[in-house]
Amino acid sequence: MTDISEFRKLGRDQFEKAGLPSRKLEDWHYTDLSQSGLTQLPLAEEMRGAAQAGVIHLVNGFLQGQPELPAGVVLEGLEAAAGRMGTLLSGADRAVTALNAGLFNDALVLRVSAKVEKPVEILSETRGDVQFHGRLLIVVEAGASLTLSEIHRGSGSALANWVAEIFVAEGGELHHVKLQDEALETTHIAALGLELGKGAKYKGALLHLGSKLARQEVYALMAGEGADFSLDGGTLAVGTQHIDNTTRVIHRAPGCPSHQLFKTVLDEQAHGVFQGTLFVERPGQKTAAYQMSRALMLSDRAAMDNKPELEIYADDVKCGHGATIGDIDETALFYLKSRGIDDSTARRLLIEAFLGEVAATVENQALREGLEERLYDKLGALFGRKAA
Amino acid sequence: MSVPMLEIRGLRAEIDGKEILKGVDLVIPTGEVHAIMGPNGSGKSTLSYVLTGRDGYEVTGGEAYYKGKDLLAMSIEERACEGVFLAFQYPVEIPGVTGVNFLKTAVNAVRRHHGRPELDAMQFMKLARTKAKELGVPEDMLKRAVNTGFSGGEKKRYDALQAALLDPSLMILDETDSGLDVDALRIVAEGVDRMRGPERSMLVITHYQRILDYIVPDRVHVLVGGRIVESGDQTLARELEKTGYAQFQGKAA
Ligand SMILES: Nc1ncnc2c1ncn2[C@@H]1O[C@H](COP(=O)(O)OP(=O)(O)O)[C@@H](O)[C@H]1O
Ligand SMILES: [Mg+2]
Repeated sequence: MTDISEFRKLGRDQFEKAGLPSRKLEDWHYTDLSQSGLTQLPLAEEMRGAAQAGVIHLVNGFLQGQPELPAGVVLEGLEAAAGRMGTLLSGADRAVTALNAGLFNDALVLRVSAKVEKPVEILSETRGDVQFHGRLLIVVEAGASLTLSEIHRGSGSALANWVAEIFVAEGGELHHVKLQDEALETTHIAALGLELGKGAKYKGALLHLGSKLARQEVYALMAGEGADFSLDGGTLAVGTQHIDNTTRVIHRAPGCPSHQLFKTVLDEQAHGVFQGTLFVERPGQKTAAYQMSRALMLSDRAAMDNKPELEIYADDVKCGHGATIGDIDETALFYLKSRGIDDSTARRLLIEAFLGEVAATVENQALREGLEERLYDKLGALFGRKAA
Repeated sequence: MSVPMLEIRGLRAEIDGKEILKGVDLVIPTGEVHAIMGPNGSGKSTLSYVLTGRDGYEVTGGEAYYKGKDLLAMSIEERACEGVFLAFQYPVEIPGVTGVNFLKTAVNAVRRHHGRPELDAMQFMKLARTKAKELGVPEDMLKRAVNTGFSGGEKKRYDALQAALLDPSLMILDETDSGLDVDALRIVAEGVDRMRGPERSMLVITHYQRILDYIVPDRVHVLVGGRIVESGDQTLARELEKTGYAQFQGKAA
């Protein structure tokens, strides 16, 4: 797509035709937006303020000031990215992505041309009862590397509709941490499209704590030989929160390892969804793909839908996948309590351990500790006293 | 006579509707070490779980008093905070929970219960290191996840370390000797024996006599078929080592 106005028009047309997805679409079987009225919300008005030190600050998708970026990372104009925009995420099931194309305002376009040590941190704030469509496009050039952190939080019965497209060229690396920590009235829909070139690496950690309803789609294309994709996801949902992780990992090139581990903790009437497809195309020989969803149910009114799928067209592949749903380990709970630890603290320790493994995968120490701290705080607030 | 550490009267308990303890009577005075010996399946572990409050073990009759208090009415954690400690026959692996976090949380829970100030990270580490050294627990075991990937012997030592840290009044040791080689048994058993004192009682559950060479009991009881069928002094343990439990099987019926 070279012409942005055409791209927008196409998005609008596609959305008009399809409308908000309902459970009739296979990909949306467990998450129905058709009655949500989200597109009736007013579009967020432009808001501009000063930049915040150390982060790229976005309010309802609008960039605040001119952010400072480490050497090796540049903020580019929309035109520079136009050729790539929308190339990864398209198709009939992507009406919400199309809506984003039609209505996004700023697009944060970053180009990474060196091995960058200092993480780039995005703070996205959702404000008010509005809909907004935020957009991110990142190109990691051959041999370059970046650690990217995203925190999404705020307030309001909003629709935060995010599209992120990330291209990692040959031998490049992207380490990605995303904390979805929106207010409990907010709906957060995000699609991540990822293309990995030869020997490129993506390592992601995704943690959902907030939102009334959240859906994270991940579409990862292993386009070059030996590309390495790894994503650890964690979800903590209570009340009537509904959190959906839908992934599609496509092994188009040979010799690519992929790893996905999604851990979900559900209490009260929360609803979790994991839909994951491992798709190995004919040339994807020597694929080593792993996909696992583990859910921990704290209440019998909570519900988890797991749908792991394999579609394999190559003959020399190793694919492991599965899904488990379980209660808290009573034996472990007894062991902890028999040492004087009260019931809620003991439960929290076990949940903390379960979800802590997601944060533990983050290599950058400051980001890892930030993620852990937020997770422990949230668990402390939900399940009583913080661990000593 | 002063109130005993533990007083059990006619204790009956069942699992899934199956009666396992069929009227256990046992009194352990303060400061004494009693051993319970018995064949596999006689209800030794069941007794330890009933005394510590594990779910699924339903008490259908009798009573148990700890320092004169109704033990069976207390929650699991209350019993622990009050000073009842069980060293497990099979210590539990808890992936993802580090030893330091677990032990410090437990130590401070017990301290809080007694209105004592909590230990901060430094104070706790100092205490943990000292106790670990005494029991031959390598320091890196404290940093690892609880019991995860530990050998049988390491798990038993780790449980003994927890006892040393929590400073209980009543220690129940469930087959602490199993899975330990001779050297490890000596280190753990001597460590436990050092904890003997006038204010602490122990219930040493064992199938074999050898641990009792290190922790010499004041009384030995034989549990067969969910009942104590014989009691005596430490010579009873030696006798049993020779004669086995077969002579009692008739008595239990
Ligand atoms: N969780 C359980 N469910 C059903 N039966 C059990 C369970 N645990 C123990 N039992 C039964 O209770 C009896 C006593 O077991 P246990 O107390 O473990 O004996 P011991 O420790 O003396 O070997 C055995 O017959 C055993 O099969
Ligand atoms: Mg036993």
